[in-house]
Amino acid sequence: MKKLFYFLLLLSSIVAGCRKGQNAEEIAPAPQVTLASFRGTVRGQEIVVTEDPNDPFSINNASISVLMLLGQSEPTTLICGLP
Amino acid sequence: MDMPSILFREYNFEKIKQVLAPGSKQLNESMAPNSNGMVRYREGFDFIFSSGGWGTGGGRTGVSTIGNQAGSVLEVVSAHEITLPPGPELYRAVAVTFKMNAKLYADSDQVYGEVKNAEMTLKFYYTGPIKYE
Repeated sequence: MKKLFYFLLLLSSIVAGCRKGQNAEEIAPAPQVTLASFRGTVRGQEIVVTEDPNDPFSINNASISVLMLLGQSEPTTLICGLP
Repeated sequence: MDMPSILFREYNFEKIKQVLAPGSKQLNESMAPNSNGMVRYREGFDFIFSSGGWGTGGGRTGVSTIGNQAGSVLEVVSAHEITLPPGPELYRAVAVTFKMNAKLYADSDQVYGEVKNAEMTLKFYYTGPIKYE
């Protein structure tokens, strides 16, 4: 009975180890996105946006957002303010 | 329309460059939630332009290109790898220039406005894979 207990304990450890190995996964984070420039007419208004070289990752009040999805479960969202 | 997909396990910088290669792209025309109430995204390349903003649940709060985009144009005109700014967390980056002519919608199916002759350059910074145990 004691041998059976240790055998089952060993078996469960092996199964748990295999499961842990299966769960190990490399996940690529969504790329960060910045807006370098935008020029165009939005609803009749000419708009020009240029990058802030001192803080390219800054996020201002949402005025333009570009939603990108590149094989991710979550989107990469770019939001930048308009002048 | 060019609409490549990326398998999750194949997601890397080379695949990002492949998806963002010059050519016609597709604007995402819908963000229909699934049975769990979660927004369902396509695998591959989704592009949504909004002149409003996004709510905490991912829904639009202003006007956006979500709607019928028949006749609209979204095109990558150039894509090239760029030199990274200082920062240890960054790995590789690509600058992509898009041209776009598209319709904007609010909460109805009626066209609310248009984006015309837009040209924008976006920079995508890839930070490399993270190993999860």
